[in-house]
Amino acid sequence: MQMVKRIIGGFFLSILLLWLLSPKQELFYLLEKELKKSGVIISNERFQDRWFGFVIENADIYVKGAKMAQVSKLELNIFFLYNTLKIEGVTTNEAIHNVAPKDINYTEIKYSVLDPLKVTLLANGSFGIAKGAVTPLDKKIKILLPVVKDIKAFKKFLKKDKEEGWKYETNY
Amino acid sequence: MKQIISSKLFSTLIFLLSIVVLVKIVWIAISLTFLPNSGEEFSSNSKSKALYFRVRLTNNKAVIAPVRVRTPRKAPVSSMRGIKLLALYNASDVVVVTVEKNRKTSVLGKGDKIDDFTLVSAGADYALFRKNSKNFKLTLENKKTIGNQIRRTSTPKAHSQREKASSNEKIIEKDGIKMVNRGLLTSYTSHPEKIWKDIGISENNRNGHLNGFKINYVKRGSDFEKLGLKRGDLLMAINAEKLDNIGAVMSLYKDINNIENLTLTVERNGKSEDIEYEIQ
Repeated sequence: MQMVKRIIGGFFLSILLLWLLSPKQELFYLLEKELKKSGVIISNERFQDRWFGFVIENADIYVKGAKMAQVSKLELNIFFLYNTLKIEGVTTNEAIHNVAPKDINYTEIKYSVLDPLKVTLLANGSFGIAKGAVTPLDKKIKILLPVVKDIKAFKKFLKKDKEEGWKYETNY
Repeated sequence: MKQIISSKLFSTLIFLLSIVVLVKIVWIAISLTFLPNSGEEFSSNSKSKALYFRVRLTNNKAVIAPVRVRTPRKAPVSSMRGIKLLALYNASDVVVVTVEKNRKTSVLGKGDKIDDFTLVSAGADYALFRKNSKNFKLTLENKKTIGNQIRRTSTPKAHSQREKASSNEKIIEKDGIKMVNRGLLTSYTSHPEKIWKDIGISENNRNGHLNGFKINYVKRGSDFEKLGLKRGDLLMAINAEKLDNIGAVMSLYKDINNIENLTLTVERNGKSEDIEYEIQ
């Protein structure tokens, strides 16, 4: 019995240690390398290693050679039962203001075992406030905009519902 | 001898430490063998630009200055009963009109008089006379204008619409040079969705790298057709800036309101050719 306890405890401990002791910066470099294959480059960023994740500050996002956005802060935390990705201060390039919001002040993407079937999203910016969810089982993304400000640029992608107001809905 | 630490606790600690060490060793091994040790940084395309001189093709600015349509002064309101304007010739230095009175025609030059009405100037379809410090406007009866060897026989309304349209012409070809109204560029930059109604473009890759943009469709009668672009053209460079990344396109998009000349390098039927424009 003692041996079984050790094996199970050792297994979970190993999983936890695998993340805690992981070389997060090198893993991030690997992510950057993979993103580069699709033409996305994260540049000029300052990387900070944390026990349960990492923080990236002042990153410039380039897509196919063109600077698309600047991100003040991106924070990833993986606590296994509760995981978050927080993105602060996104300023998009002037050239894409016709199709994208000018500023995204705050975005939080969250996954919790208390609501295991979906990933929730909350954002606010020049467009107003957006709340949404991704349900991987249904392969569905639904984002509601309860507070709407400047949505002229991407209004064509949105639908207006009598009950829910402006919303973005798609399947992937 | 008394034990400082129980053997059970000691073995547990050793077990935990061994897991930590094992995990660390695994990560070090993975880092050394598989993981990259440096990130990706964006490096701006610092390829030296082709030596490029842009020469203004027309002789002087006056030649390409936009044609301003003279608007009649508001003062002339009085009529000239019994006198009809049959024809007029209006150049920058000479004004000659043909008028009819009691079925008798007379040709007048600037300063000539008919019934004490002195010819002072003329527009596209009217002549201005002065009498006793008052202005009189005589409009062309049948819109027969001799000026610039052009005879117009259309109705006054249609004529004025045509005149307005020509003054608003967005692309003018003069002396073999295409001149593009800056308003055309700004209208496309402020409403980019208009672009895709008139032209269809897709990225063109050669050996896995972007080498330009293929024109798949050009709407008939659109500004893009007037610019000389054709279906099947491969747009390779703009003002000698190779279109091998989206950044080049976006930087041009940002600066489009400041450029004075535009050279599109296109590959057409396997041959590379430059299409030149001057922006007014």
